Amino acid sequence: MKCDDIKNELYFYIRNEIDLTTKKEIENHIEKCSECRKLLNEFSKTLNIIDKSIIEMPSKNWNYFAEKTVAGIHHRKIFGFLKPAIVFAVSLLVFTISYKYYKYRSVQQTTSLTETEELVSYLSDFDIPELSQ
Amino acid sequence: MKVQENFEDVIAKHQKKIYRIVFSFVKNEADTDEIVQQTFFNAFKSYKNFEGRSSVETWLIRIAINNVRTHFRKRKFFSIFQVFSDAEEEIKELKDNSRSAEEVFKNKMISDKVNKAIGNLPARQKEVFVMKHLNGLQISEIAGILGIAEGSVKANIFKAMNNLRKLLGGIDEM
Repeated sequence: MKCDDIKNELYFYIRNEIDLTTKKEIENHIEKCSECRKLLNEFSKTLNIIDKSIIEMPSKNWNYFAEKTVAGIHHRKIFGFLKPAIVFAVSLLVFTISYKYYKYRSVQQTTSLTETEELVSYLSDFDIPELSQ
Repeated sequence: MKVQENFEDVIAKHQKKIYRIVFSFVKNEADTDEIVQQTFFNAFKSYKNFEGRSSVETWLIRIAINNVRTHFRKRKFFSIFQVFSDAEEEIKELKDNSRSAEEVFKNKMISDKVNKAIGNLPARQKEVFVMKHLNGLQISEIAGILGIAEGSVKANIFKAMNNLRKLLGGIDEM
């Protein structure tokens, strides 16, 4: 085995997840190769540090969690369809309100113009010179 | 109806393993709950079309890993808003713990450094290392889940170990 092959096996050697033949080969190699020996020591230290800081999985009531997951699937099945429908309905509502408001504003502007014209014509009947100019 | 009953058995049988794998990536109970439920929902939607080319467990883990990737992508996007909430959580943890403040602080520093180092590994190395080291999956299982060769799994474990060695090098002097 070459250094590159040994390096790929170091993790498994430390964890003792290796067959006897490979184990012997690694041990023979490490005796001779200082680079791989150094790497083995550093990998062992690194794994010790990692193992000490593993965050424990929270304890769970698995029956309850399974029920919650099944309920979640039903919920998502229903609201999965509803969600795009709600988004579409809200968008449509916003569009309609904006459109109605725009129309209302246009009509209001037209109306106010007509009202001004009517006022001018009404005041003209009083023969006010400033107005005729 | 039968599919649903079968699927409830699938959930009961595999939820613990899926949960453990997701938690070892996410390290947060609420997010793990959400991702696991999403995983089973995704699986339920395509359960009828599941062809059995891999085991149900491998298939579920694959879906879970995809959901974990999506979670991290979203988290990266929204990370700018999380600075303050993270700080609050840290203070709460320190207050909640009955051990001496110094010990809690030291352990937290080491734990944070380790988690950060694992979190900063390139994606493939992180996935392989977490599945192997934190979940004890077999090399052949990991190869099946990620669709890569077993040799590539081993090479990625070596690369991950080598990066972690460099990143955690000075930790025992703390």
